[in-house]
Amino acid sequence: MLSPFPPDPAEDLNTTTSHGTANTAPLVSVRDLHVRFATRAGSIAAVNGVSFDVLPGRVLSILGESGSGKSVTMRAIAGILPKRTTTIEGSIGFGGTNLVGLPESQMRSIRGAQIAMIFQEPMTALDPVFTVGSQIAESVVRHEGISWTEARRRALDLLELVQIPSAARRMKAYPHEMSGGMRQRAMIALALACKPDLLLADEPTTALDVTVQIQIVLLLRELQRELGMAVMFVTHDVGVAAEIADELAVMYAGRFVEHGPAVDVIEKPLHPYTAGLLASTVHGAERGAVLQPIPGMPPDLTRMPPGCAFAPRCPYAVEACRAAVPQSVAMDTQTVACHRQADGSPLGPLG
Amino acid sequence: MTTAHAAPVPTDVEQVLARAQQGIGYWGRVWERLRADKVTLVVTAVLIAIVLMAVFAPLIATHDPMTGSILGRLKGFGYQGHLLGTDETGRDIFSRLLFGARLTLVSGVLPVVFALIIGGLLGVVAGYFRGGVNTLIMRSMDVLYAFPSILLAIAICGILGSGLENTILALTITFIPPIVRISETVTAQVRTLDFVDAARISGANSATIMRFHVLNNVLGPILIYTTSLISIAIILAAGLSFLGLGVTPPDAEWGLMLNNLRQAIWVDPVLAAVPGVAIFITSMSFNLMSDGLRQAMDVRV
Amino acid sequence: MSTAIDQPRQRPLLVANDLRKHFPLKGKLFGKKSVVQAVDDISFEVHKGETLGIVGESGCGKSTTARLLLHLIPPDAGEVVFDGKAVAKPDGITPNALYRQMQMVFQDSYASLNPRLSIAQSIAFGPIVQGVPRKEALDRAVSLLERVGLAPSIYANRYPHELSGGQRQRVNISRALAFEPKLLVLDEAVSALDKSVEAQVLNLLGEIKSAFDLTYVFISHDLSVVRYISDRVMVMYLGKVVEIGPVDAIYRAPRHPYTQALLAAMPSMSPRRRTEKAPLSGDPPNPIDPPSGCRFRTRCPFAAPVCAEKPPRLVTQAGEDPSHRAACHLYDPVAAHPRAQEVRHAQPLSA
Repeated sequence: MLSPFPPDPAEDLNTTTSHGTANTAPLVSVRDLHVRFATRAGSIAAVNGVSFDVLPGRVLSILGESGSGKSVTMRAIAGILPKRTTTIEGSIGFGGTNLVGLPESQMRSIRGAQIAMIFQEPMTALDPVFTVGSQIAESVVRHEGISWTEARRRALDLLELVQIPSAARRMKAYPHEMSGGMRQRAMIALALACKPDLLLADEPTTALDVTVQIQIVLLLRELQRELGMAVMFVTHDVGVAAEIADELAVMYAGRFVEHGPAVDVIEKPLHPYTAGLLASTVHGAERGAVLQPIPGMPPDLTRMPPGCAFAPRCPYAVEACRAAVPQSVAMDTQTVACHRQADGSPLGPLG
Repeated sequence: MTTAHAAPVPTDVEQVLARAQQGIGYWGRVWERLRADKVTLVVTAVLIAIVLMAVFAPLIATHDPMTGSILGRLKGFGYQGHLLGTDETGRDIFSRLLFGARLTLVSGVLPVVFALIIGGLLGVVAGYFRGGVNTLIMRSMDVLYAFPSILLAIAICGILGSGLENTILALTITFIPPIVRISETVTAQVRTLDFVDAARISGANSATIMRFHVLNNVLGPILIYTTSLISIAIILAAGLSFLGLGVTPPDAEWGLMLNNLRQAIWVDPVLAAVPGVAIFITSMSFNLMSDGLRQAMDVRV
Repeated sequence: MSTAIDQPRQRPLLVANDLRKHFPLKGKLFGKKSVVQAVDDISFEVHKGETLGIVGESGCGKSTTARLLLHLIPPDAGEVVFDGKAVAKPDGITPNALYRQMQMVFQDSYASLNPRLSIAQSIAFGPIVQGVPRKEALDRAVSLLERVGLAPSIYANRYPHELSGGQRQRVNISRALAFEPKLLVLDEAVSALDKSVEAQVLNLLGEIKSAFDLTYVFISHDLSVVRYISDRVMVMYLGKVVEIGPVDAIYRAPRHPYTQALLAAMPSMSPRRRTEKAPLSGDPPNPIDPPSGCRFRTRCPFAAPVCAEKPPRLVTQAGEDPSHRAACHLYDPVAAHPRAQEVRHAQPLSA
């Protein structure tokens, strides 16, 4: 056999736990979150009533297209939305504290010690004028108040943890001297310096080449398991979500349309949007066949329609869909916000 | 299956159609936005008023700006019909301000216009053609850049001697390098955009690409930058006159008036401040107008 | 050079012969000047009516190849032959004449439209430059807008920033079609689009290909999309062609170790079959001063001394489709690669 890369046997999936039934207290508990931005073009309704929990040590992936509000939701939790132009309503419980309206000083100490974030572009997190080693060591000193010598040792451990080859030498490297994948690893090491309970990942693999992307996804999966952190992973790529998520939430026009164990959401989607998104993702198998894309385009967030935001593009839409925003209801292992699934004759899995 | 139409269902199709039929273009959009911007409207009105006052100075002036009076020196506001008082030789300050506006505006606006024509051309050429042409133009500009702008203007005026023409020439030379640099940067940026490549594979020659694709997109930013230079030019021109390198007495020019009245600061500080206030209002208005223009022209926001 | 068996023996529409483009870097004052070997002696053919997919990671030279084909940058060596006539050669075809028959769609839908021109003006610009009367060119623009699914009454007089990414890419396709070309080079033309919109545009590309009798060169980093749209696929790595062949052969039985790694790195799309091991470690090396011999050898699990000594030739495998060729010493009897025995019994990778 030539291939050094045999396809691996199906991995045992620990998806049986937790969704809805867990008795562990959630680490993050978001309730009815609304985020609006004031712009010259009017008020943009970026997030429109999102509720979910993230349990300790679990990976929630938020899947959505551009403008779906996935990244805004995460930035609201991190408390890094511009204060002046943003209105946040609802509550974001984190370990018993409501983060909405928390003073910046307190927010900063939580963000430093318990919540860390990684980005698509590592240079947003790394300072170009300091070496990678000293940046990580500085963060360790700040959080743990240990000596610099000790902190440098910890920084080296962290670089080894994120599998940077010849880590001792890389300690002295500046961010621009590293390749894209190495910078991404350095940023992850920096985020882990404070031993966070929650890691927020905003499309960290999107800008990477496919052979590097899979390395970073696998690294994050491994670190998450080893360190037992909870991870929120925002992506537009179903494939990446399938690789990392325990639970999957699909966002459309600032709302969760579907939420449940990743396997179930991907294999038997209940919301017409999820089904449409999966159907329009190109697989090799359908070579040359006509694809079944979702018609039309997402709504204008400055003028949200009164009912279900997906109704104008939905093949199943009826009059009721345009009248009121659907509530999330539990169906099997998933929750879905769809009038047609909630009424007397549900549509059932659409995949 | 036919392609799913990506055409959206706009909530207000009628409005969209009406707009399309009106053919409201980019500049129409800019105008719409300018009209909605109160601050810009007010400062533009102020500037128009100043220009009109300068143009019709002989009609508006209450006194002869050159005739003084030994007795009526440095009198306060309203003294014997002198609206803004009199200066150190008893001349009417209000009338001198009106006439002075002519020289001030000319020495503020003309150098910028000249510099825009010369510098804009050089910059766009440097940015579009790169290579040797770029190096030649940009390195020559760097030589001029080595001097702070005020020093450069003073040096040129010092060599050429005082007078309005020399002031204009000195300021023009002073403003060419920054305009070249801005134009070069903007043009080089636009040049790398794909639509320029798309135009090249249309078979269009450099002149056509320059005209339809480059100039169109660089003029806005260059104009905005240039407007912001007018206020600096007015202040510099006033500064040169103040130092005795610009307009020569007894001609009225705001900087010169400020210079002459500075002795009055102990007698009547309010009086001494009048030309300064005029310079301040005018240059501020040009600045704010340039800001407003920038915002209105950035249609994407 | 062999042609595909299943291709009728006719003159290829487009031929690239030993194209080379090296970009000198603004060097240090002293020492050796370095060059980026963006494209290094690549040759391929495109037959009338087919879609040739070009796939590879960042720095592999696929975009430079596109620009070389369109003569947007002159090659350092080699030639482009369109319909039997060499481009910009004494008794060949002028670039201007080439543009009437070959057009390009760029990745960035916004940057490829002049923000100061209305949609109709942008589309009509090319034909007007080529001497079509203004009225006729505008009529053509309007009918093309209709053809790509954008109602002219709404969009003809609009400006690029008023359109969504998908709509702008439809405009760019119309802009290219306005020349009535025979061949379109699509450089990452759907890569920046959301999945649901990407599917719409892929459908459109399929439709207009048969409607206008077009030939495509489709460049992308997305392996799924390339598989979906291509008849033949060319894989590039650091400025070299590593493998070329019919799409099914490339995806079902990849020969070059790099192609195998690329395919193994694709996310699985199912949480039940997760990738367990990254096929390659590290990032692709810098195209400045690439490795000697085979450029993939620094990351290749099969690397042997011979790989550093000489660059591999594109070779076919005895008894198999001669149009499927890989540039790897493993398959070249002359190279006497020590592990060549293993590939005699090569198993096709499961797709």
